[in-house]
Amino acid sequence: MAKRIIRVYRFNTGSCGGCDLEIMAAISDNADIAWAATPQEADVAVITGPLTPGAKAALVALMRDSGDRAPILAVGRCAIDGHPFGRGGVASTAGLVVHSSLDGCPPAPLQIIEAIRRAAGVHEEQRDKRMTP
Amino acid sequence: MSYSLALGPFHPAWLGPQRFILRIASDRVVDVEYQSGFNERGCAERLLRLPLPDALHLVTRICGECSFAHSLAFCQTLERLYRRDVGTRAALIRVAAAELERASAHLRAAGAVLHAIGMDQRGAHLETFSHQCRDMLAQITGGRIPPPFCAPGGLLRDLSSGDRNDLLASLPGISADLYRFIDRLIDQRLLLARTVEVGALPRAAAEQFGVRGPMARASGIRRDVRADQPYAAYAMLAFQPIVQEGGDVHARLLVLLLEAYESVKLVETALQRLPEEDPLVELPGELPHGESSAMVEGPRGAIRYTVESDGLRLTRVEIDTPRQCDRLLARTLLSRAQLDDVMAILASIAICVACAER
Repeated sequence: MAKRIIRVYRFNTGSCGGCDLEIMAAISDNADIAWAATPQEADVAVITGPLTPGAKAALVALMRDSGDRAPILAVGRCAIDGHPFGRGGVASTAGLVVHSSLDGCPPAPLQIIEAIRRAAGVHEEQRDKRMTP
Repeated sequence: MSYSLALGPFHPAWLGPQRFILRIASDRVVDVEYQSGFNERGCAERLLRLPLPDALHLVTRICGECSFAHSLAFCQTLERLYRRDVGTRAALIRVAAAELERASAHLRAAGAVLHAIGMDQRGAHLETFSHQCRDMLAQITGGRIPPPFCAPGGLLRDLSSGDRNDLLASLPGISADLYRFIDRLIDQRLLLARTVEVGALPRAAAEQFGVRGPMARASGIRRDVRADQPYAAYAMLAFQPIVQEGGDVHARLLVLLLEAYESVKLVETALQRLPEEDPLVELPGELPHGESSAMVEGPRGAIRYTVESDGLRLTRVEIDTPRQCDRLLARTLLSRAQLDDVMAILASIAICVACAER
């Protein structure tokens, strides 16, 4: 069976763009991971940035629309607790279930790839479990 | 038939969130709405409350792609306040880091333009060049997205002679490859057909809108802080701004590519001229009373920091970044454009959301 491609959708919610650059670098170097064209198609939703008030509203609305299907991976220190921009990140956002996170400012492309594969793998296992009676 | 097409706020091709709502009639754009401001973080206000080491970290994370440019502008502003001089070695290493960052940002933006017009293979090639530049930046500063590296009066980390020799050995190969790549690309028929007279911004309009950086230089405006008010070690290096007259996607692509090539050359010259001295400095203690301001040419245009101090701490910090996209500019660029060209036009203006919404 051909190896499945993991589709990633990235939400920059106030990040400096550093993590985003490293995610781009990671994805362009690995054939088994690609961009999803829409959030609905994503296997993994990646959040970068400290969830600024402006971006948070847009993100929550989009996640609700896409039915919270994809597991959420928070990449970078500011996405976790808002450092160095002050308080923020997923730690202070109620109503957003984050499945895993990756610390670093920014984390290296290799770490990002591993975290994405892990997030997608766990998600798939859970889905398979649900489907087998 | 006419319809609306919304792009964003989150889009795979953009580093930061922004929303374009296009009104399309028979495959052409007839009106544009632009929304931004999703990422306002209030960094300038936050800088006032931070001790110097934390402030130096925050300025490197205002914009990841222009990280070193921000920290250089901030440090130069503080140097004027503290009246500290910078040694030649530190100034030359600063130029090398700033130019590698510029080359990496420009090559990524140029690669995005090529992807947008379907030249994916060549776009991927430019991405590889961009990563190479970032890896070299990491050799100098300690991180692909630099950690705090610049400090008022000098640097926080020296370049070892091993790393310097490494860089000097690989730079000529990269600039030769890049030259060959640009030479083979620029008169490709497919490229010309998709970029010439597409998304044109005439010089008069560019001046009126106050655009800066490579975008202004692609519209024939000869303005570059590195040449106009040389800082760091630019006065020591022969440097000429790159200007194109066309104002279209082709001109902007050329400016990005040629500036990246020039940057790699500048890094080479800067590293060749490094004198033996100690560029490392201790962070200064007491803050003098006063006001100062400094400007650098970031990858997307002039970045100016202005600070005011009451002798104990900073009382005002202002960060002026290059003017980015707004509704008027988006309308000028996209009106009457073919729907197929929209992504290429937007890629060519390389909007830096993080700089705009600091």
